[in-house]
Amino acid sequence: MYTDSVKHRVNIFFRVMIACVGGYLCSMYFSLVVANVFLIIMPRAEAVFLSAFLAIIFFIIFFMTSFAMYSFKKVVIFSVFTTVLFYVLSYTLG
Amino acid sequence: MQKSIRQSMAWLHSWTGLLLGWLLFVIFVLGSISYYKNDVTAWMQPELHQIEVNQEYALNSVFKYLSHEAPDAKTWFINLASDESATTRVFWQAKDGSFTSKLLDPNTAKDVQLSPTQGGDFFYNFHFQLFGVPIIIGRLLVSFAACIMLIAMISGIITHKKIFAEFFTLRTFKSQRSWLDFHNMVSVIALPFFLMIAFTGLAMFFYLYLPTGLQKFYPDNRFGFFDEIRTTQIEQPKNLTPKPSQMIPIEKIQSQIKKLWPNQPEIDSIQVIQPFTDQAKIVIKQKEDRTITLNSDQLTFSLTTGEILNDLRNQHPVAKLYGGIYGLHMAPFAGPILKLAFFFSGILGCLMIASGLLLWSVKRQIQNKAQRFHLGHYLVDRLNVATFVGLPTAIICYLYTNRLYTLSHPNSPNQEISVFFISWLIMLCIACISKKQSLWSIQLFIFIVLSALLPITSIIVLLYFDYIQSLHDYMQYIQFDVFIWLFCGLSLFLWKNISPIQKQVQKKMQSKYQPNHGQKL
Repeated sequence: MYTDSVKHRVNIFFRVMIACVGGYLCSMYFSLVVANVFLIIMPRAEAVFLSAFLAIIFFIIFFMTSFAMYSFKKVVIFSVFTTVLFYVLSYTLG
Repeated sequence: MQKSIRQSMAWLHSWTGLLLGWLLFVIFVLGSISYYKNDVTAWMQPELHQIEVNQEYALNSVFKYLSHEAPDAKTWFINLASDESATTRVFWQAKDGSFTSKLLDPNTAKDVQLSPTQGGDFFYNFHFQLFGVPIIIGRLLVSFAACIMLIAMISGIITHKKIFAEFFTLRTFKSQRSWLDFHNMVSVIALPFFLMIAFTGLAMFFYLYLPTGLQKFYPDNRFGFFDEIRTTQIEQPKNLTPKPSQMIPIEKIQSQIKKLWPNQPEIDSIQVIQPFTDQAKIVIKQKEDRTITLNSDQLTFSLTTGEILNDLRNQHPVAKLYGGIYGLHMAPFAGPILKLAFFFSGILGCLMIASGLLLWSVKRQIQNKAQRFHLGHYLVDRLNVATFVGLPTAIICYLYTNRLYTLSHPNSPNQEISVFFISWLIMLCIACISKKQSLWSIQLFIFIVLSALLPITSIIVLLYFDYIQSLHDYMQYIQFDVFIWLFCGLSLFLWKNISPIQKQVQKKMQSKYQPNHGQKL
């Protein structure tokens, strides 16, 4: 009973960390990728603002997904995969 | 985590709501008041009611003042006195980049001597950058709170699958059910407003918490972004340095404005770029703004030739979206009725947060089978009441300080903000030492007495200092006083009805946990 309670709290702690820190990093790279793409079709300031605008929505979805998934393993895979994906994309696009 | 998404979202809704509920309540209360920040300032600085504003004359006098005080500045910004704000605020940027700000009498263009108060600006600044912490930290905390609020709202919508059906259910004075029904009802009434206000508030400060885009695309000057998103950039030859030159008299510009705007609308702000050079130009912006994208009518003239120049505002859809987030949040387009609707939507937001936090507390009180002391529940109860009643009481004390101290001590340091925080702290201390049964009634009683007497105190002080001499003079203060009495009346209603709710909770707990009532332990 006691172990379950500790397990639950540790689980929650790591989910919060993933949702906040992972979500923030992922949104940051997401905004860079999207800004690079938007730069093709719109001026610089507009591209930066619109990418940040979408990154906020992305963060909220990321945060809620981290708590909506039952399996903690899936949460870790999902967050690491998306963060790495956007990091690589932002690095590739310059 | 819970097995179903709805259960997970319910969990997320409860805990995110609890975590930042109190801060969000403060932001909502002060943000709602900020819609009337000029009115609050006018109430707290009665001298403002005695200034007659003539914009044409004000523009002439401020131009003379700036031509004398800052002829070699890079830019002049003028917020011209109007019916809403009776003083002219000017600030200019010197060649070394430093800013100077002055508040001027619109008639004499001399430094105006007003009561030393921050007025409504205190509430306005507090609601988006807090107080006593570095501005950046305050803004980041408020942004985080706005983000958590969005998450709490979306998870709340997912949790309540019958949210609109539940909207029409209100079981009054029936313990936990009443809070839940009330929470659902107030949440649904202004749901689009809550989503809009939280999202726009969050998006405004993107440059603080998502600076990577700006750092990457504006490596030399991050603030270049703001110029580009607001105005269309024109490539200018780099060696074109401004040369000293005389400017045409402002009267000539005024006569052109009269021709182009025959209705003579109120002017909001004026910007003079590169004054007393051959590149000097003036941008005049109308006060009335019927757009939601901060795109009110404006005119641009050359100050060397007097010719009208092209409109340089950025009309790109994304630039309009950028203006829209500010416009929707601050509602400068709103007329009196819409402004009132925004204000009361904000108050509904406060009620939503308060009822949510009270629901959390009542629920756990009922679930506390052992009836033992629980520090967490004790703290939540006390913080709830110290926020929901303590903050409005602190606001009332802030206003009292203005009437009882500031007006009679115009040269002393401002004590209003200190009194605001001290009275709030006292309310928290009272909450901590009060018995649970009398917690709400004591706090509400203090608020009711103070708010009921405030307008009366105000009238006495205004009469004493000769700010009002007839009923007509008092009309300038009556709106504010009516609002205070309205909230006093609402508190009186709550004070009368708070005990039935508490009795219901008590009854429910007893019936649930006493074996005589046939309930399982």
